[in-house]
Order: sequence, then C-alpha cells, then structure tokens
Amino acid sequence: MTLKVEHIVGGYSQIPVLNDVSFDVHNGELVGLIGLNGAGKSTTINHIIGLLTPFKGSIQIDGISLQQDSEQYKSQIAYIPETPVLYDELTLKEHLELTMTAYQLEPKSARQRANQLLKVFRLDNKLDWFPANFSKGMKQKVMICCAFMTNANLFIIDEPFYGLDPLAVRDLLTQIESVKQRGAAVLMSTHVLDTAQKYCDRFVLLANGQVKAKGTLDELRQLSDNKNESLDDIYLALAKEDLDGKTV
Amino acid sequence: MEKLYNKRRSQHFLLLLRYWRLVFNDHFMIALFVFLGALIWGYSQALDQLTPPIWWARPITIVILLILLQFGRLATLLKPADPVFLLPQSKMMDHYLKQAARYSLLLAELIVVGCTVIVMPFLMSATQTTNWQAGIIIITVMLLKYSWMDFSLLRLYRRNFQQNSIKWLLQWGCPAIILIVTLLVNAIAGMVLALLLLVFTKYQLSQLKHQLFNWRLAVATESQRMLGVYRFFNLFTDVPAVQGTIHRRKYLDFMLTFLNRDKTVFSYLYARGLLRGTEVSGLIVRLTLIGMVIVFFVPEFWLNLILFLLFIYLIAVQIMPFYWQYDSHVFTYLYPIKVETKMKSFKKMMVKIMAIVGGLLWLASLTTQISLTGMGIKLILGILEIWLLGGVYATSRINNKKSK
Repeated sequence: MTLKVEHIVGGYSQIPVLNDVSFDVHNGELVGLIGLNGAGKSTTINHIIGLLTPFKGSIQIDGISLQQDSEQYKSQIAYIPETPVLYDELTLKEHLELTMTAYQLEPKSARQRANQLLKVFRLDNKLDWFPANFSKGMKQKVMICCAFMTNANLFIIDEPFYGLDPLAVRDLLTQIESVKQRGAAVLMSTHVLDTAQKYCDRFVLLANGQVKAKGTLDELRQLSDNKNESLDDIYLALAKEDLDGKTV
Repeated sequence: MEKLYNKRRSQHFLLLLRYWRLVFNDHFMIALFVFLGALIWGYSQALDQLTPPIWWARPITIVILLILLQFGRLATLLKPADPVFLLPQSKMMDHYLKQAARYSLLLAELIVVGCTVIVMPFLMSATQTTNWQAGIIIITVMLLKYSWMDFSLLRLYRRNFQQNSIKWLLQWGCPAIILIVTLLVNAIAGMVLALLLLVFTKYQLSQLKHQLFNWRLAVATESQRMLGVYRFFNLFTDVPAVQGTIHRRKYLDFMLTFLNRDKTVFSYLYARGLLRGTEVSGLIVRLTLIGMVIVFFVPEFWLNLILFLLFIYLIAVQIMPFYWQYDSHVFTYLYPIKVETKMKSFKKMMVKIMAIVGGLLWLASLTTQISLTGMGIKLILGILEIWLLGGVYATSRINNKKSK
C-alpha cells in the first residue's frame, strides 16, 4: 500500500473545503481523481504534497506521514502541477540538474534517464533555453521530464492533458504505464474523462469536497443501474444530482 | 473608441500622479529647489564668462538638440490584452491612435521646445546668433519633433518602416542632417528641409488606408515605454511592475562553479538567480562601483575606513532580501531537503559575494593609502565585518522575519 488518505478535513482558511475525504492509491495503480471545477481536487492534492496541513485526518505514504519524516515523505513524491511552475533563471538543462540534486539521484543513470525523456518529448535540442519562455505545452513537458526522471514511488499529476499535443499525451500515458510497471503509484486528477476511463485502474469521484463514489469502473456502474454506462455518464449523473441538491 | 483613449489617459495620469507624489516628497522637493537654483545660477554665471566665438558651441548644440528630440515618445497606452479584446475594432483603432499621437505630440513639444529655449542663451552668447535665428531654430526643432512623432505612428502600420535602419535614418539621421544645415549652413534652409520632412511623413500617413495595424509591435513598444517610466520611478520608490529581466550571461558561468561549490539545491538556485537576474546583482554592482570611487578619492584615513565599512554593510543589507526570493515557488517546498540547508547555503553565498565586494573596495582604497599598517587594519576589520554580517546578522534577520 502506498498512499493512504484518511478522513481528511481541510482547506485554505478556517472554512473547510474538504470534508472527510478518504481513499488510497496502491502500488502499480493509476487512480483518477475526478470532479467538477471547485470540487476539491487540487485542494486534495495540495494536502498530499504538503502545501496545506489538514485540520483533521492523516495522510501517509508507506506508513510515514509528513510530520513524522518530511524528507523521507517528500522524496517519495513527484508532482506535476496544473500550471507549469518553472524557475525563470534556470535553463532546461539546469532544471534537470536541480531535480537530480534535490532528489539526490545517481548522476549517471539519472542523466541517461533524462536524455531518454528529452528525446521522447522532443526537447533534446532546447537544453540551453530558458523554459520560462516556452509555450504552455512545452513547459508542461519540462515538468513531465523533471517528474519522471526521479525514482519517486508516488506520482501526483494535476490535470496533465491541457496544452499537450496528442503525441505528448500518448507519451505521457506511456510514461505513466512504465512507472506503474516498476511498482509506483499514480494519482491523476483530470476532466478528460474518456482518457481517464481508458487508462485509470480506479476512480475517486469528488463533489463539494466529499468523496461521492470510488472504485473501478465496474464498481461504479453497479452503483448506478445501467451496466454499460461510460464514466462520462456516471460523472454527469453525479454532477447533476449534486447541482440539484444545491438548488434545493 | 474615443472614450477609451480618454479613459486610459486619465488612468495613466492618475498613475503618474501617484508616483510623482512619492518622488516629490518634502525632503526631495527642498533638495531639488536648491539644486535647480544652483544650476540656474551656475548656468547664468558660466554664460557671462563665455567669450565668443567658441568653435565647439555649434557642434555641441547640435548634439544636445538631437538627443532632446528623442524625448517624449508616442504613448499609445495599449495593454497586452488589447490585441485580443480590441481586435474586432481594428478599423476604429486609427482614430484611437490619432488621439494618442496628438496628445503625445503636445507633451513632447512642450518638453523639447522648453529645453531648446534653455539651450538658446548658450548658443547666443557663445556664437553670433541673432534672436530671429534662435527663433527659427526653435521652429525647426518643433517641426522635427512633429515628423518624429508621425514616424513613430507610421511604424505601427507600414512594414517597410519597421526596419531598424529606417528607424535610425528617420529619427536620428535626417534630424541630424537638418540640424547641421540649420546651425552650420543656413537656418532658413534647415527649417524648409524640416518642413519637407514633415510633408513627407504626413503624405505617408495619408496613404495608410489599407494597411494593417501591427498589434504585436505596438504592444511591445508600449510596454517597453512603460517599463522605462517604471524604471525611472523605481529609482525613488518601489514599483511592483518592475521585475528584473533574466539574461543568460554565459561569460559569468565560471562564477557558478565558485558560488555553487557545495552543490545543494539552494546554492544552485541562489547562484543562478544572482548572476542572471538584473535586480540584486545590478544593485550590488552599482553600489560597489560608487563605493570604489568614493574610497578612492577620500584621503583621510579614518573617514576612508568608516566609508569602507559602511559600504560593506550597505551592500550586505541589499543582498538579504534575496533569501526569500524563491519562497513563492512550489518546488522549493516539495524537494526532499532540510530547511536548515537553505540558510546555510544562503550565508555561504553571501560571504562569498561580500568577499569579492570587500576585496574590490579594499583594492580601490589601496591607491591613496600606501601605509601598510593602515591597509592591514582595514583588511582585518573588513574580514571581521563580513564574518559578522554573514553569520550573526543574517541569522537574526532571517529569524526575525520568520517569527513575524
């Protein structure tokens, strides 16, 4: 078992955004975190990566919480934010070097891994450029390269598909598949439901800061009556219920 | 669109007013009046002492007038979002820009003519220039500024006017020739030439019917202009819009290895941020240069020593805020590193930079003070100060901020 989120209550100020959120992500598994805008996906992710501290509940990676051993906890995580976050003063090559330093990667193998990733994402001819001047999609690719060159056991990926070209989307999914193969856990939040349906092993459906449903696609289908419903339909039904609930 | 420009202009004025108020605080006003008074008095004294003819008076006036002409740029007040939101109004932009050009021209003429009027007494007392010749020179300058402004507008439409060579020709070359003719050959001929140049740009402007407006260039030019304005105010007060720019500065890469010897995440970041940013490094360089000049020229040992130590302190204080430079960056929190390494890396970097700065200041003061003991005392005190600043002082500043 890798990531375990238990009964989290949390948010940005005094008012909780998340209400009793619990789920887990196992080794070698891709879990989709699904929800409308403002459902609490990014807030959940911010709690997991340690930018926010939960009011209640606990988050553990391999049984260790951030409070127990922050270095150990953080070294397990690789994070790809929704909007690319880069250092203005660093070239592409230096971003990769910094990641190596930060995660204390073995230089030779890490460099090899980095070169592979750069080639896959067609950035290998831009090593000396400042990525801060790249387009959104290219910046996102830099974030992907930095994240996947680590030996992290938990990948947290926030809305990865926006701005990526179809080739890059496919390559990202291949990368996710390959880290899954070596036993890493992946948590991905997204709106692109048909892709999520095709690739995620399990789903956590969030609405209004609460987990509305979780499980594999089949388990979700059993919750609703229709056996052939797509994730899209389930999600929309859930969203509609939720909106109706709000207006009453 | 008529309303839009007026609205933008009043917003712009409010912004300028806010900053001017900060610039002209009480102390500065007093200093400025004294300074201006001294300047005017000095100017009039200097004029009395001139004995005509002075051969360099005309050439220098030409250079001054040519530089003056470049003041007062076209203020389109366009914003980066405009190409998206105003694109459907592209046709109507013509009117907007005409208003902008008219307003910019008015201000520019005030500045240029005002300054020219100030220069004229010099020309008249240094050479045999009559009143009406001076008048013609002023009119010529006015005409030149007018065509200068028209050209700024033309550039935003016509592709063939966008080349740098044409820009140089029309904003520096032609005015230079016309000024030379006006001052060295014949004032009236110069004025006629200036008039012809204006007719030329006016004709080009009237041919604009089917030209497309170059949004990209217009927005880039305007943000460049605003950056200049903000930079000016930034000399006196903090302007949030001025964020330093980043330059690769490959020639400084040897410094990276020196600053990043212990190879931690933060020394990696601090070294690059410092060498490639413009804000902190620019400040350090400027202060060091000023300090070097001052200690070079102060002969009194005790005063020299105090100034030497004072500059080290001043520069160290300027480096401190850089500690928090990366605090708004998510990844500095996410990396699996100890918080203590940040302070350690920063202090090391600070001591290294201060050692270079202190060394330079020390060397600069070496030339006037050949006394060995004096230099030894200075060296020891300097090292002691840097050690204190990079140790106790830095720690207490950082901890103070943390506890707040």
